[in-house]
Amino acid sequence: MKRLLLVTILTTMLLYPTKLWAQDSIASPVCPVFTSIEFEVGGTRLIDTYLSPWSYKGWGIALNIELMQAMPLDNYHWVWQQQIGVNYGDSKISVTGAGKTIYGGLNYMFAMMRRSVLPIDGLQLYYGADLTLVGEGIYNYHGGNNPATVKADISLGLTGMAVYNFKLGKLPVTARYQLLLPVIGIFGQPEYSESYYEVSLGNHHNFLHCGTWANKFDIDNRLTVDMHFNSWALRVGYHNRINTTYVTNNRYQLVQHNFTIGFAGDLLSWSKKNSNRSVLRALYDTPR
Amino acid sequence: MKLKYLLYIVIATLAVQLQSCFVDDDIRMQDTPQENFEALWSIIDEHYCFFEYKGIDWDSIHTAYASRVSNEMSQYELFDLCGDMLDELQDGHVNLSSSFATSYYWKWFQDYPVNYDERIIHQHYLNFDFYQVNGITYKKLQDNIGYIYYSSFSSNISHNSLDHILAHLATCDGLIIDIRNNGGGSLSNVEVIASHFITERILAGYICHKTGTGHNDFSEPYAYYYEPVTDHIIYGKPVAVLTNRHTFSAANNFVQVMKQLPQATIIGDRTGGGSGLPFTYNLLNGWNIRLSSSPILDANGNDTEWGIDPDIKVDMDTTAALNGHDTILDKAIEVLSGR
Repeated sequence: MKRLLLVTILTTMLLYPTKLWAQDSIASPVCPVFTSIEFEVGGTRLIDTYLSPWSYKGWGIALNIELMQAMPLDNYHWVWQQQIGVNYGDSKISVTGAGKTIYGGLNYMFAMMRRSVLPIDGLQLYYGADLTLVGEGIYNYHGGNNPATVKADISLGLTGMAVYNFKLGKLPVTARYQLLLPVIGIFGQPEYSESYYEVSLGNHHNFLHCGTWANKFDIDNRLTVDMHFNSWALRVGYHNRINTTYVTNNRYQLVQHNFTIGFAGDLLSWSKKNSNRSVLRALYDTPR
Repeated sequence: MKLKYLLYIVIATLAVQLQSCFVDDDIRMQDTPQENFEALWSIIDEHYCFFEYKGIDWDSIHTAYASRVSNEMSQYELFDLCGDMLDELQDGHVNLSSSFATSYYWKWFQDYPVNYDERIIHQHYLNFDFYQVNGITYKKLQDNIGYIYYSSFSSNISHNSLDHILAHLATCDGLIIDIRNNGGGSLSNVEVIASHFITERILAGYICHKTGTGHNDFSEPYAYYYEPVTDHIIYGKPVAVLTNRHTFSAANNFVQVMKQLPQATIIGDRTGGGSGLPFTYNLLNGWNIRLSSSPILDANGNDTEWGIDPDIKVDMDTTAALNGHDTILDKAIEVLSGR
């Protein structure tokens, strides 16, 4: 019970960190939580030599939720961001269209970024660090004792974002490009032909690996355009994700190119005590 | 400040370039008989684990077979040729599967007697009156000997089911576990059953795996242990395990574990072996190749790929079989009855 309470408190603090901090100052601006929900569909290329020596290509879908909020640090020049995603894909051998491999994954990212206003009107840069958790499974329909691999990793990385607010005729538009670049982390991968059965017997030798750019390179590119309609925005964009590992003589690479469509907006609950406070949005406003 | 912004622009440009960095070095390959033959040969070359143990020169086998492959041959001709090449590995765990056939290496049991006839047992020993649960057939035989037949280690068996079976047979003087014609299955079921016959933690064997593409790139053998069940029935009376050449793979592994128990006697014929844990890979044309990938050694560190000799070697007498006698089963009853 104590453990459940502790987990609940920690989760609450993680999800609403600035809300807890910002209540101290009456003069502070109201910082709504920017929220977006995106649906992705696109193409996938995949190779995992633990399962098969061939590259596979196919389609993929994903659902992402993004949260962002300004933080009362350095005069509100910092924001936190969280991204939660779930994805699924289906692929076949690239050359022949034979075989079948499916994959599914969950990912979570927490980032803290400082934002700088550039001399160009409407342009801001965000830059900071992130913590990413990824859990994925790949299943090859050939069966046997190596039908699947499980990918799990935790990594620390750099992230940067360029945001440009402008008007298209009378329509306010926000264009954004964000880069996530994990630098170091930990991930699991059995040895060349080591079965998960052997791992389950307790042989964990050389199973966990320190992920650096020498053996693991991931990158995440996201380009979105938010078209504002009253209090919400229609989001369209492009999302590219590349995950690569090369350890224990096994190579794994997943490349996704997805078209994105979704909705975005600020979640703000108004009350009388907030009526004379200014509003500072994490993405669409510029800090003073 | 300008330098910082420039850095971001460079990183962004780099990211765009990286989006096309997928290393698909197989993209120029084609679905031809020659490409598929070479793919099959290479997969075996890089993943098969018994080249050294069996003294197989895989390069010379390539030389012998590659010259017979042409892009004009049909998929059926290619399949037969590849099947012949795979027979050189002398391994019952090696199969090539397509949508129209699966290749098997038969010779590992062809030269041995069958040594099992289900009809004789059902008619003359069980009188067509027995219990069955989760792939296990069981009954008390006339000589107060318990009899269990387990047809496949692919049939999952629970500790609770084993409790019911062992409780039913608890008053017997001994127990026969017949795993003739058991072609294997899940190693987890080996542990589930074996754990009802041990009273303390035992070294079950060693497992190792390939760490690279070289024929001798192996990990250090990893010792694995079995624990006795807790809160379930442990059978401590004498046990006879019946084997024939068709006792293969996980069933071979079960024999390997039971052979070291003081109360167990292995009776029948040499097992079929199959001690390599198999992995499966695709070929370009969608065929699948299964091959032995991780050797599992017995508790003494010996490989049992060629099979395990019984403690008491008995073959079925074909003349006696005509009169309804299974001489392997008769021998087990004799041993357990102390006659």
